Amino acid sequence: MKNCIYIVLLMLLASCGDEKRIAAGDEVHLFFTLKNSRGMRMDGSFQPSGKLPLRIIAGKHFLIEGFDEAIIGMREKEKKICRIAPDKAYGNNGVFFLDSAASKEYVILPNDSLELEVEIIKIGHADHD
Amino acid sequence: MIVIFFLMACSQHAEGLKIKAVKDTTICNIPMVLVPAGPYKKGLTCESDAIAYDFWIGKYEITNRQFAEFLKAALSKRFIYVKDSSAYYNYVGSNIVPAAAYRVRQFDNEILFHNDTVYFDPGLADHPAVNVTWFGAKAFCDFYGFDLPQESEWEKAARGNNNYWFPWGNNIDSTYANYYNSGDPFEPGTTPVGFYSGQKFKDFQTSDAVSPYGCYDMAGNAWEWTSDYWTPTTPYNKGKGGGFAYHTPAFLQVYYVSAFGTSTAPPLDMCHLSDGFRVVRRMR
Repeated sequence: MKNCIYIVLLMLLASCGDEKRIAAGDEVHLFFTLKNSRGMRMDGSFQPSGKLPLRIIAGKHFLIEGFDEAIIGMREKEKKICRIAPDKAYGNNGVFFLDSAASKEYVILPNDSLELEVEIIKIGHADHD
Repeated sequence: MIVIFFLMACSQHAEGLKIKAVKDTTICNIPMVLVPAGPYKKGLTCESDAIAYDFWIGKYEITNRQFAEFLKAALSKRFIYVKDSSAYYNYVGSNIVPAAAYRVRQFDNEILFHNDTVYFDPGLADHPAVNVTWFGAKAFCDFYGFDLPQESEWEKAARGNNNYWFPWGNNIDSTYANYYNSGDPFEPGTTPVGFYSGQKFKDFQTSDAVSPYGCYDMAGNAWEWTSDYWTPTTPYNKGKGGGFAYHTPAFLQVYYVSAFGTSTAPPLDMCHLSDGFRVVRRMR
């Protein structure tokens, strides 16, 4: 019995040294910026009124596939810049506005890759099913 | 004692559950639901706040049919005008947006202007009107005596006093909302307003995505313009609810605010394929 208690205590002490890494099912708060291949920002947490964190459940399709995959294994406060291939982003659809001349102004071109800049703010346990 | 404890437990449980719309009405042929004055949860941290007055809010996003009817009526009364394939509105201006003629909407195949008449695609009649600029939403409101919701009104209507991530609860899948690649029968476009009501459409079973007060599509389908500026000096208005075009479930959460744009947010007279709106009428 005593041995069991010691083992549990040792495991707890050991786990204190481990920084939690994001795994599927974790609730994560993060800051991000997505840019297209021309370096133009198309979405992100930096807003005129300040930074707005994005809250997600990792690995549960809250994000485009490449974004979701990129954060798995990251730690709190860790930052990363990576490229997302078109097949894990918006494929051949692209994203566009109609500009004042009524032509499509693409923010993300069809088959464009994206640059993701992400900073992990908080990792927690999700209360979701 | 046991009975009292049971009643208290029931009362606390009911507080956290959905309150179905207490009242429905129609104003200018737009179905509305009543949101009574009272507390609600605000933002990412679900901070407690309250709204001191009752208000009506659109049960659904404004549809192509309703927006086309508005364009027809507003054109006939010279409230708006057409130039270069777009409708324009003389906006009176605000403390940070100058008075000028601004674009309402670009005509296209969904809403078409031909021989001085406005037509809409009958197959999309009950889908949300998108490609509507902020000024287009504002013109609609001004014409019928509505307002655009403030962010606070929108959030109260979306989740009431619950800590929900989404109007119906915390979980989401493709049966609840129309978002990027969600696989609904209308991909890659909008869905009819109120589509996610628990109905079965062909082989596609939806879940009932109703908000506590009876609103639909407050997550996904069209981003919804609000009357709130980003900051008192930033002439961009906030969008809420997420859209069908390229946003995934993370962006459909009640607290989230649209930040799309090349720098901060899209210019207010730019037509975006997933931007629409719903209206409010306040009782104060």
